[in-house]
Amino acid sequence: MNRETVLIKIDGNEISVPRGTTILQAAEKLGIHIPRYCYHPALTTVGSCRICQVEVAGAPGPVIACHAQAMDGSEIFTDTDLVRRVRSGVMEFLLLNHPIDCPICDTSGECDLQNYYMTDGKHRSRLRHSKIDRTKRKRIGANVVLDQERCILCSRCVRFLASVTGTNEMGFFGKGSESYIDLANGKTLDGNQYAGNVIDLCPVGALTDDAFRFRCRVWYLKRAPSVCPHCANGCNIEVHYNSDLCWKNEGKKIMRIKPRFNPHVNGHWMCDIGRYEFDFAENSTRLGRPLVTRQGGQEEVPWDEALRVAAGRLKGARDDDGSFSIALIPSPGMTNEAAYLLRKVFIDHLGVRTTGFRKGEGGTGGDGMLLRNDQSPNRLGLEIIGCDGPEGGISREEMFRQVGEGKFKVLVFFQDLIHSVPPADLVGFESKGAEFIIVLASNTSPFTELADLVLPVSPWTEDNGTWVNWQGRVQWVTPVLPPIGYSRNTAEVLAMLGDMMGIDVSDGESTATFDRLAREVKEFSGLSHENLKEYGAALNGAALNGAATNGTASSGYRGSGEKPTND
Amino acid sequence: MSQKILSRNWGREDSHTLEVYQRHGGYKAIYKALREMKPQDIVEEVAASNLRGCGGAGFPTGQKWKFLPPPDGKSRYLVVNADEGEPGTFKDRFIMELDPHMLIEGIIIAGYATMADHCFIYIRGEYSEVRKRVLAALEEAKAEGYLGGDILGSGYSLRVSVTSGAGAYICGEEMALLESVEGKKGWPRLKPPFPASVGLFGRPTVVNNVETISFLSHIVERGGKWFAELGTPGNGGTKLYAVSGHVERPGVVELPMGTPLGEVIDTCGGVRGGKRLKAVIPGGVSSAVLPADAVETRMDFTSLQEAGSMLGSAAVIVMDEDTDMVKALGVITAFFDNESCGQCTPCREGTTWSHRVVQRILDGRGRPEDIEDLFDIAANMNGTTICPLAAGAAMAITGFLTRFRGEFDDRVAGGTTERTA
Repeated sequence: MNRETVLIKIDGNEISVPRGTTILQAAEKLGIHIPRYCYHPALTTVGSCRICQVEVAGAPGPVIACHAQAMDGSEIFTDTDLVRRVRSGVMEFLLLNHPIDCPICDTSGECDLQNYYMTDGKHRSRLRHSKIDRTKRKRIGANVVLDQERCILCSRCVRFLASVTGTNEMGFFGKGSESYIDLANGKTLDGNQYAGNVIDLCPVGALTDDAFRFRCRVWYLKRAPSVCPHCANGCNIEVHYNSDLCWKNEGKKIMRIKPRFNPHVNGHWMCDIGRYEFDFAENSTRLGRPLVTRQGGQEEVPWDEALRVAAGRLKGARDDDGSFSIALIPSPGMTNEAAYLLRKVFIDHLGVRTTGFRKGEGGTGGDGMLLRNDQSPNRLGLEIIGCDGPEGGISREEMFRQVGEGKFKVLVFFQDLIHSVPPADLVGFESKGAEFIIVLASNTSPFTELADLVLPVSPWTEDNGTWVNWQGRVQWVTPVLPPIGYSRNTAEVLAMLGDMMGIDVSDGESTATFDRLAREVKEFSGLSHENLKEYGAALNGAALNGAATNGTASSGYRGSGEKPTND
Repeated sequence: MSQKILSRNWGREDSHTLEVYQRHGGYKAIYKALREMKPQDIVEEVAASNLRGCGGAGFPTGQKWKFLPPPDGKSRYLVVNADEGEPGTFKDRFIMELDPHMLIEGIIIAGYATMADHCFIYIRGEYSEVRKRVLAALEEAKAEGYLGGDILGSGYSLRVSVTSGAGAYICGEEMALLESVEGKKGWPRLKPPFPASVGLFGRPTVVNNVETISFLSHIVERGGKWFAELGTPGNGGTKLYAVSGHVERPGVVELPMGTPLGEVIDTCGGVRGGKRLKAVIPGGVSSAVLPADAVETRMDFTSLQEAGSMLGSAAVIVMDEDTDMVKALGVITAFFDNESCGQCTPCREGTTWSHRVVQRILDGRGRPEDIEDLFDIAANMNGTTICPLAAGAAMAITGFLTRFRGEFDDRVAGGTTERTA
């Protein structure tokens, strides 16, 4: 025991915590959950909801655990008659004007008001008046809908917009029981790239998501951890999907995406691009079978036939000097496992010297919060693995231009998963500058329509592999859903292709491939899929791009590093 | 008759002017304070005087000052709470209207003792005339060299600003007041940190009531011991009692701290029209009502606490035998319903709910369980919020229900106590 720590007792359990730790945080460490509404580890503490009150021996009355610091030698009780009385009193006050419309409320099933009601509610209303009417169904942002009647005025949304984004779109208006949360004069959440977070923060059904509303009850949702594919930040996400009732939703399973806490990457938050742009993973543009262009158009073929065609074309793509005339354009969205096999097959064995992937192309910088200017999730991984070729890469645009000039016999294009197609990129395709064009893609696009061979690969929701974010943090993306149709993940396709060409790589199994990568590429040495669980891990000794790789980032938006327990 | 300290000039013509104030001994104490005493000496003298905050909480003033950290060369503030929003309270108004220089002299002393370089006087918005008087007096004092740079050649400088409230009761709570001075919505801040360490604009700050500050020149001049001996043990000095309601001569009277309640009422001419006394609220509507037999109770912090109420702002509201106690409580619950800031759940919902229940009883639609519900609502509001507003509301409700339960029961039962008052 020293001056920096205090020894306290909570419900009879002793614990030593750093001086300044709040009672709520200390209890959390003991696994004791103290109810909270206004408290959030990444927001300023206002102590206004009063549900977290606990009893401290010797104190004149109950104290709020979110604000009161643990004092040395103090004895704290979280479940006494006094605490239960106070809590159920607060619950009663909160429910006084709250419409009990749980059957039609979207938050039902993940609502803190419901959850705490089960333990601390009075279960019998003493209100003998009408409830106060307020505004309902007010659209306050592209996807955010406000119901002031359900609001319990915890002000989390207001504080998020004040202290995290600093945009102050919302405020707390009125006085007393006439208080309400609303947009500040003339403002709207439209255009705020982080607006969706207020929905996650809302402990009740006051802020709901228009993209999710009334589409699925939350108890039908399954949750799988993943990483966002939309930019180089690699925010940790949770994909919420419903594999049982998808007939309700055109066969689509993914219902929504939520941020997943990672203190080193995104804290508690994510941007609205990552949150709302996932339709491509399951919509009708998904490619389910390999396609070969024959007379009369594209024709579905089995995988072995498609791969035989590809292997034959690649082997035949010899220049006069005997070198392979292959224009290779990797995607900075592919996994490290795929990138490793791509290097093995095309660079190490087929001798491609230059690819359409150039180092440092993604652009640096970001918006100061999460979004990076580089919209690719794994540019750094491809750079480290050497996907630019031994002579260094050229830009994708330049490669397309050279293809258009007829410099190559075969073009192998790994289509970027999501991002739009610049018209200039189509030059090489339209002019048929190459004798044979192979496209690996998850969704149809102008590229796939012009290709001679299309190999359907998984989007990130079905893929299995790792990405390196801009900081140099390696994160593992595991499949959320089974593959659609006969699509396969890119690493597997490359392994099969290598096999077909007599190149010994691996069978494409993700973990084994990563292990080989970790043995061969020093930046990855010592890493394995196993030790990437939860928060990922920093590349070996790398201070790449000058980024913090040790995970000690302390920017405000990442929060206090405390994991929420009631999300 | 007892000693007059704060009210000694009130009867004089033009008592609010510098000339009259000085002619009767004003602005002498600052010479002694600034030239002969160190700030620490003043703090000790005030601590010895047992002067307790006159805004309502009764916190010992000297002790409050001692919480200040040592000076660090940056700004620190003195804030004078002239918001005086507690219903029944109007004593500070008399000081500021009739003798603003006594307040200003106190400000100079308090500022010097706490080593503040800027003082904000927060006057409630309704007191527009009072504000003019204070501003005029500040101009006079400045012209005389009592304010501004290097006061009386002591090297001590003090600037004074006047800030107006906008009508919210909550802004009389010191933390909400600080928010309001900073230009924000008047919401009480969480404590700790206390204003002494993190106050106005994040700097060490002392917040004192007008009456408290106005005593300071006298304590400096005549010593803390003299002041302490005027009152009851632990409750120093005299007190301004703002007496309203059913008395012959409502107004502000200055009596020694600890004067029995009955004597305070008698000083104002007794109960109006020779009626019998029914009840007294001794310290503003946040304090529990006392029945008529409490007239012997001494009007000081300790004695009233023992009697189950509190001195608060010493706003004595007298009610005669014709008073409808249910209706009286309805007025009070309406007030708290209107004035809750809305930040904390128990207060935001509890003040409204309790008022709606009382109003329903008044409307003749009460139910027997309403009274127990009111007790319960009050208990759930009491001590469970950031600031004491909800506790005040709870104390008012339980006070009325406990001491006049019969009237509430009768009203609920269909009412034989309907009165015309």
